[in-house]
Amino acid sequence: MRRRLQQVSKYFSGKWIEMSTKTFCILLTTLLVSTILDAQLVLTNRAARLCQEKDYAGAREAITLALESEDEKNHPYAWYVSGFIHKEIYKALETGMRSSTARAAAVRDMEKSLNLDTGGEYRKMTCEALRYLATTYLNDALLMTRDMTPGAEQEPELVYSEFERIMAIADPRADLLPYRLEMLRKLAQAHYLLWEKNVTKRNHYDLAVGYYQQVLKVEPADCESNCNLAILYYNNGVHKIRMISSTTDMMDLILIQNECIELFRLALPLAETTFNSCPPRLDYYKAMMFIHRALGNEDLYDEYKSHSEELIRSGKLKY
Amino acid sequence: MRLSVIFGSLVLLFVCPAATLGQKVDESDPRAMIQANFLYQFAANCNWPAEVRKGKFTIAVMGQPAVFDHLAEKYGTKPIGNQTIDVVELAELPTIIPHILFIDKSRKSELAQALRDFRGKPTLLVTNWDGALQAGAHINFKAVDGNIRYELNVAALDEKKIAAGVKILQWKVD
Repeated sequence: MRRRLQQVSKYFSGKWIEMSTKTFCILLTTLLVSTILDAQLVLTNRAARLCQEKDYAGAREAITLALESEDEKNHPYAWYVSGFIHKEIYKALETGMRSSTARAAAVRDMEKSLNLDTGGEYRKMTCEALRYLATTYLNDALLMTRDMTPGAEQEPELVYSEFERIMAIADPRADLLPYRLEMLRKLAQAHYLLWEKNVTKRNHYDLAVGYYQQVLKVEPADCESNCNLAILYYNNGVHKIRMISSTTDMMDLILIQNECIELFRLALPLAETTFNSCPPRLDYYKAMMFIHRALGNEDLYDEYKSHSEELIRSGKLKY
Repeated sequence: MRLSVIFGSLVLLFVCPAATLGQKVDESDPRAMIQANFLYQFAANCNWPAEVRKGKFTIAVMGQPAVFDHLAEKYGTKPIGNQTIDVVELAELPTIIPHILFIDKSRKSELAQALRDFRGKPTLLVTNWDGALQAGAHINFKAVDGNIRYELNVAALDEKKIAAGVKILQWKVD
């Protein structure tokens, strides 16, 4: 028997490798224990079957009982199944609900499963589920920036931070920088739109500038951020001029104008970076045209204008 | 039985270029707006002869629709003393006598005729090109380090009996 066991081999990575008796016994024991434990997970297995049959209410009831039972409540698979059921409930009933309790419960249960899974048996599939859940937080955070309202400015960032927190557990080596940068861009745009709705609210302008600057610190050639920050500075200058009224003193008129010229000068190098290093777009031409005109460079305004018109005529630039 | 799930790499369900979110460059002409603001300041800060301090206060604009638009929008209903401002856009020199006539550089050839038409009349001629002051304009906008400022022909104003106020004199450039 011993001799026969020693001859048992396993095909692994394209090569037959011989296992020692000791290794084989460990594997066999693990398999046996696992099978016995699985057999003991009666309620959990029932919940899993009901979930596959899309009977989520039944599945939730069964897994609740499982997690209350002494036999199953400390098993990582039971918590994984609970997380999975909540995830399915979220997908079926609560997708798009940013404060979904099912999703939060799914994350919580998956994390509990990971904590209990000291052998790492369920780790891979649990982390995959967590990655999916993290993605839904990311998407919600990005979508929330689209309809961000005054007073709720922190919400997208809070939801995004949940994405980062879950990803740190599910995939600690994942590079989250591209997602962070996308989030910063979207936050900047959201604050820009809030500022545009009420230009007297200076804080939205400052926040938008700050978010774009954070992106540019990491990606100095980022087309979108360079162009949008240029537009932000420029439009703020135009806005300040538009606010000049009959009650504005001559001295203030001159001081405001000086301030605006400084904003136009801040905008110009950003617009130039975009124009020179990004694929041509009408927005980039417009930024160059109008910033130059505001600085009194009318020849350059005409030059960019006629060039863009020429490209539009020849179909090389979309109007 | 085992429930398992396979997911690929993270997918952003929502990716949208900046342009679609409405961050667009403001296409208004800020230099025209500044010039319009100065025209109002000239109207408000000059001492006008008594004979034109009644009726409407007319500001006429030739050759620069953006200046006209901003003036009309911003100051069209504002008073100068007891007079209501009337902003008019002109294609050719007016037969009426405006208080202020702004001639844009695109219509610089009209200046000589305007000087003849309004000789001895209390009309302030404002321009925006190099050499206009020497050609007879009373106030001429000029670029100073990117800013719009103005130069003033005080002697020509005196002839018109239009007295530039302290604020106008204070901020003129040479």
